[in-house]
Amino acid sequence: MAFRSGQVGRFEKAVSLFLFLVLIAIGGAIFFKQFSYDPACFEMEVLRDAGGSQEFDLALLLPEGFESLTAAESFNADTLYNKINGSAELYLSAGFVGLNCQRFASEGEQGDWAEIFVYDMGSAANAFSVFSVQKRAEAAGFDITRFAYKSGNAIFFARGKYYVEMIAASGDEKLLAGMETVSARLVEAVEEEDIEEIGLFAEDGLVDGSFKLLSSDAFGFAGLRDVFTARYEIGGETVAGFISKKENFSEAESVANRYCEFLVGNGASEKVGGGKWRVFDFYGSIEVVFSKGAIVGGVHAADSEKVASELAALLYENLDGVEK
Amino acid sequence: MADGNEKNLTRREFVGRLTKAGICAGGAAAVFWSLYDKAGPGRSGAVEAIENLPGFSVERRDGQVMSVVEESERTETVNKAIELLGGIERFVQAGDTVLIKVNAAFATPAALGATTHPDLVREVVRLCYEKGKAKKVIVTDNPINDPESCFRLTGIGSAVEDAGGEVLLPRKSYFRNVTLVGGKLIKNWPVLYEPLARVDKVIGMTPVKSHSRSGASMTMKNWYGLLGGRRNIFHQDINTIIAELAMMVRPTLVILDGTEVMMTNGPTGGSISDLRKGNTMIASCDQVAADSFGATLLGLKVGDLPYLAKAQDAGVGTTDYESLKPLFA
Repeated sequence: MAFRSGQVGRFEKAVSLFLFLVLIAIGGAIFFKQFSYDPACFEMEVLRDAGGSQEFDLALLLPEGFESLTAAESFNADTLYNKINGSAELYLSAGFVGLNCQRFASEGEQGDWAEIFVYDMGSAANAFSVFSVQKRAEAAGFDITRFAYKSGNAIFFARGKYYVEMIAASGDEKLLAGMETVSARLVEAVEEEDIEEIGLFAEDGLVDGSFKLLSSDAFGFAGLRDVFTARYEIGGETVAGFISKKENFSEAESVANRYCEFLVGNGASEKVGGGKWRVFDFYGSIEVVFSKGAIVGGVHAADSEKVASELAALLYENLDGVEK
Repeated sequence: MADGNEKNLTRREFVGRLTKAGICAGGAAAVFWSLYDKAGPGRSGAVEAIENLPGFSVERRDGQVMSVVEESERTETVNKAIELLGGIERFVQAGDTVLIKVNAAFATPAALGATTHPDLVREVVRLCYEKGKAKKVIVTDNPINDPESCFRLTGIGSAVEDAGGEVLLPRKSYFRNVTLVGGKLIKNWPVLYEPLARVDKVIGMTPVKSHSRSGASMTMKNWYGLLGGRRNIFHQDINTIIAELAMMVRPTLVILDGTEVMMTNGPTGGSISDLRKGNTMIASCDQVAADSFGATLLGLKVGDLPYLAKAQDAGVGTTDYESLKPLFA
């Protein structure tokens, strides 16, 4: 049928007007709705822009009877501060790559909630570093993986390149049991990695669980980085030994010599007759330093020279056969 | 059919219809342009920075500058601590609008001691209303984490509402650029200004915590939560920024909660074993003195916290809290 001007009937006009009003109403609704939104959803969008990577879907690790409480979050080196404030520097200086976290709660009991923090530290040694430096004195054993403990309302462990914290809002037993299940699932998902330096320590007299990794400025000396320490019980005394693996023999020798110079420069006096290692009296405490192959090692802050020398001998001889 | 259309639509009609369509489109564009936010988020534009903040301190009374109460129950200790200084009526008068700046930095449970305890918040809000006869009590912070989550998960939000107060979550429009006259770092920096501009009294309340960067986080560091922007850059000169915050904010009263002290792994903590029972509540008109005493609860000396001396040198208060003859109970 041909269209004729003026043939738009009342019905068409009414429909057009109705559609026009609907469009205005939609626009108005969008305008007013934009001011009320669920911050958790908005936060999730913002944090995804913050560049952290979601390597784990933490919600999938939750056991039956638990549900996510808030949106998952992720952070990178630029945004880590937004989550943990001043604590960020410890992680950043230890090789931090990314953080994924998630809060969860028992279904129907949102007052009993916990938060999981999974830090990607880039390497097993880095993860161990932040684990060991923050280890609480009142740690209770938790044999889920080699480096793990419980402390009150929380679980902490290092597995592969990840450092994990799980912190509960209360001591509710069901919640803590849920956290243990999540821990077990995380451990299963991540392969354990050996940390070579830990295996270099002699086992005689070694205090279980006493390993620490000082990433930088070990014993106050800027040239001592990536230093593993462990405590030993020898002759009734507790004494600390240390080992640090360097690239090669030259570097190890250089670091050892510079550390000795640092000690002397700060008032230590060297004792003669050290032999394979050098012994210093540093204001009443004994320091021992040696290098063997690519390893720098020694004893730190011992009370007696006899015990320090005994530990130094143990550490030195245990390095026999270590190449480089 | 096409031929029929062309024959029946004259040029005049076509132009007329085109004009009407253009007017509609133009009208719609005009409406949406009027809704367009030209300034965009977070930009303060060419508005001049405000120099300094208003002061909120009350008249000094020698012998009633600082009080320390040693007991375990927060609601009791805070009442006693304030009573020793003359009661809340000394600080809050009838009809006042009071702002309480809490530490709600993290969305963590109260039991971890990383944030102001909700029991303490509830009690002080109640005191302001019931004894101080305040007209309104507002509680605020600009947290590290999402504000809504922080106030909810710490329990502070519900504590404020229980006592009849109002939680003020930070919004971009509440920030104004502020310059601290004589300051080195706080220059033309966004500060949570609008709430401060509308109140008569300001009370700061925070727990005693260790801090991996500054050594401690107490009443002076609490004002960090008024800063906006990328405030983490100030961590590189943490002692100066804390001193400048104390210069910038002259509160009516500070309350330092040492009931449970975060001894290790501050400021976030994470384990109950990071806490030690301090069983101490401090109320003070001198935030430097309060922090100097608070340092002892962490096993620290004044010299271990360089920002204390900086603030004293700037005239904010005294590290020699004993000279104030604090009232003990």
